[in-house]
Amino acid sequence: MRGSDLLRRIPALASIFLVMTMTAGCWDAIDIDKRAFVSVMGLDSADSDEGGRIQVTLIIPTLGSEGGGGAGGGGGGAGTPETMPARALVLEQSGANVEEAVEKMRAMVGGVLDLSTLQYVAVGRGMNPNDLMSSMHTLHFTRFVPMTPLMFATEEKVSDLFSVESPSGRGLTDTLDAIQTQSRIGWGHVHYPQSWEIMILLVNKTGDMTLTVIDRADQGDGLQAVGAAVYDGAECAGLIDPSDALMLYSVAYRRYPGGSYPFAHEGRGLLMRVMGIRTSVKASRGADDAPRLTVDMRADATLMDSGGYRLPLLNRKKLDELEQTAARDMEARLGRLLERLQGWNSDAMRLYHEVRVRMPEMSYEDFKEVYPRIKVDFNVSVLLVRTGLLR
Amino acid sequence: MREPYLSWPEAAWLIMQYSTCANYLFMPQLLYSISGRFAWAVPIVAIPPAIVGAWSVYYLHTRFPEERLGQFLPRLVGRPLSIVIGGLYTLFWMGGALTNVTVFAHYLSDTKLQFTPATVLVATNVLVVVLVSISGLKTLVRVNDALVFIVAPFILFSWLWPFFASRLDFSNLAPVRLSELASDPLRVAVAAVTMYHGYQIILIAGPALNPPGRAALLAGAAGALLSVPAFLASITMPLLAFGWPYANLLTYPAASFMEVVAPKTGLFPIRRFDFVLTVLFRYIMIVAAMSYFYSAAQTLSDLVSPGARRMHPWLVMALGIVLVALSAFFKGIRTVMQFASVWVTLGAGVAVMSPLLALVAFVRPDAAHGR
Repeated sequence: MRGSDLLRRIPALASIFLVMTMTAGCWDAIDIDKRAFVSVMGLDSADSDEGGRIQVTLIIPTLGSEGGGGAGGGGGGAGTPETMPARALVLEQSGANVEEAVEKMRAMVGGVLDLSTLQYVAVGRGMNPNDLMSSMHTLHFTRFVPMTPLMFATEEKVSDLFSVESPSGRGLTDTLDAIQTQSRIGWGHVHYPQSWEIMILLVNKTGDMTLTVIDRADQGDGLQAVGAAVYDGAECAGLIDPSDALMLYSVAYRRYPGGSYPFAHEGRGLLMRVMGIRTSVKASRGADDAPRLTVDMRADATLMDSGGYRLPLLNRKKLDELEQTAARDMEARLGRLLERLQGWNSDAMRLYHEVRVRMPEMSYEDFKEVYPRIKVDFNVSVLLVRTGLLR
Repeated sequence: MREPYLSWPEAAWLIMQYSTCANYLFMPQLLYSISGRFAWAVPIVAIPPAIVGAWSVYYLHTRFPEERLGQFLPRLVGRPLSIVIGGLYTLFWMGGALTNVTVFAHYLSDTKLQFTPATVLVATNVLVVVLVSISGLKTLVRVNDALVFIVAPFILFSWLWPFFASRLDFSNLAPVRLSELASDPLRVAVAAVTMYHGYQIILIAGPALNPPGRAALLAGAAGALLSVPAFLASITMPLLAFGWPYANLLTYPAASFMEVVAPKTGLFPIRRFDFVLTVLFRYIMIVAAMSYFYSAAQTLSDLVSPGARRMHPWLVMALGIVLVALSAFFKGIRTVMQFASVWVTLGAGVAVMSPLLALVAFVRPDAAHGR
């Protein structure tokens, strides 16, 4: 019996010892100072005679003195003294695909390129649709990067955008974060979709994508959101302004946090802050088997500028009037926006998302053929409340 | 026989994690390939066969309350057949252990620990499995008990949070086409019959049940039914978030789902909730692998030496080495998936075998008295 116990204990102890030393599973561990953490990736089509080449730009934040980093931009690390501007290394390479371009960059950094910290992906406006599809597939299926980096577009060459130096010393990711944060209390026209959401649209074909456009600016931190780029598949079809972008996002995402919306009533300019928008899209089979759509939108808003009207606390008559005006204004704007989108054959409002359920036999390609002619009814209701110390 | 120590709720939890475990890393892909976007219906279709299986195992337990599969099989079907049938169960359980330790090793190697060879990760998993198996069933049960408090809250959170995270789109299940489910009826049937196979562990842990008898049925049924939401979540939620066909393109849909719905946190570099979940799921996977491995080793030991008080530790270690060696044949998740398809078919054979054995036990009442 004693011998049997010993027989059990020896392997058990051996296993415990090995488990203690090996359960972490680390192998060829690479210290943090040997890793180059990538925070932003830019995608462009390269100007090359070889054709079909993708230009990849990476931003790798670095901590160090003024002279220690590379080009400006990039995210500042936690704990960076406020007096020290965020520094970043900007790498640029082209290749037949993202993989090849990144491989070339590996030799340019003194450690391992770690893409697991990727926060933003920028798409150059001139990017070839095939290159964009190829790049997205590479990011999602052949190289481990998170599925959650935020995406935006730019009208410029991505590497030029990444070289912007913020006068305040803020890093690129911090500036991009701030643009979105300010948007929610401003025009509401900035929304960065996550890369997996873009892949869903490109692969599942339930609508077309929209990317906020960020360009260089002379004031502020050197960057500004100028509107949104709408796509037909992976091809950039057109650009819309900030107010249209707010309405477009409200329909496309069905639920949107809102932003500020200007409108006019009796010749006076008013401004309301939309606190939240909910949209429901209903599809039905219309004449000639073409889909017929109804978009119902509900916006909760507060009046920021009364336009000089007196708005008594206990009488909503004027507010009711303004609600109606704002709602009709939004409907008209949505109608005009749809016309433009139909002209570009871009289903950026993601109307097909509902059509595919109601008319499963209609493919996305079929839908795109009838899309320029389909009728959509927009019904907007606004709940407007007064806020602040209005007269 | 020492005092029985396994209550029916403990057994139900053991059965549940045994059924689901690392299945979330390969079952969604497997079912998507069989039934397309209607794959979410398979976990529901699989409930009746699971109840039949649980009842069969319960019946065998009532006939042989103090014996394990490898001990009563020779008297029930004769020595030669017992080796064939016991071998089938052993193969299935070894296959389960192999799939579990390997699929998770590949997942980690693909994502979090990219510089660690999969074989090293398999070896670390197998070390823990071997250690617990040598320590015995009671240790396995207690490790499993301890997990409920650590893992269950996180699992529940990972199932409930997506409903509040506005990431689920139920229209992604549409259009519902029955033809998709029935496109390959044989494979659907095989997957459905195998899915809730956790009740089989009663064939090994039955003698430890306290009280014996009805507890086996309660544990089998409760364990199988608890597994339903687990399977539904891992198969349906990726569809709800990613839609079709994108969900089908992902290597690990259920793991990717956790990544995209995880609440944002500011922790660097371990900044994602899915990382925490991965660690916790690794524990579940290891316990599941332990259950499979222990079942296989115990059955093998009982077939060779039915009277032995415990299985020989060197047998356990040898089997562990075999497991690591076999895992080296898998050159990536694709080969693991190919093996999983075969393993699921093997599981269907085992699932059908249990009612057959119960039937034999029913028509041969003398078998229980031949010790």
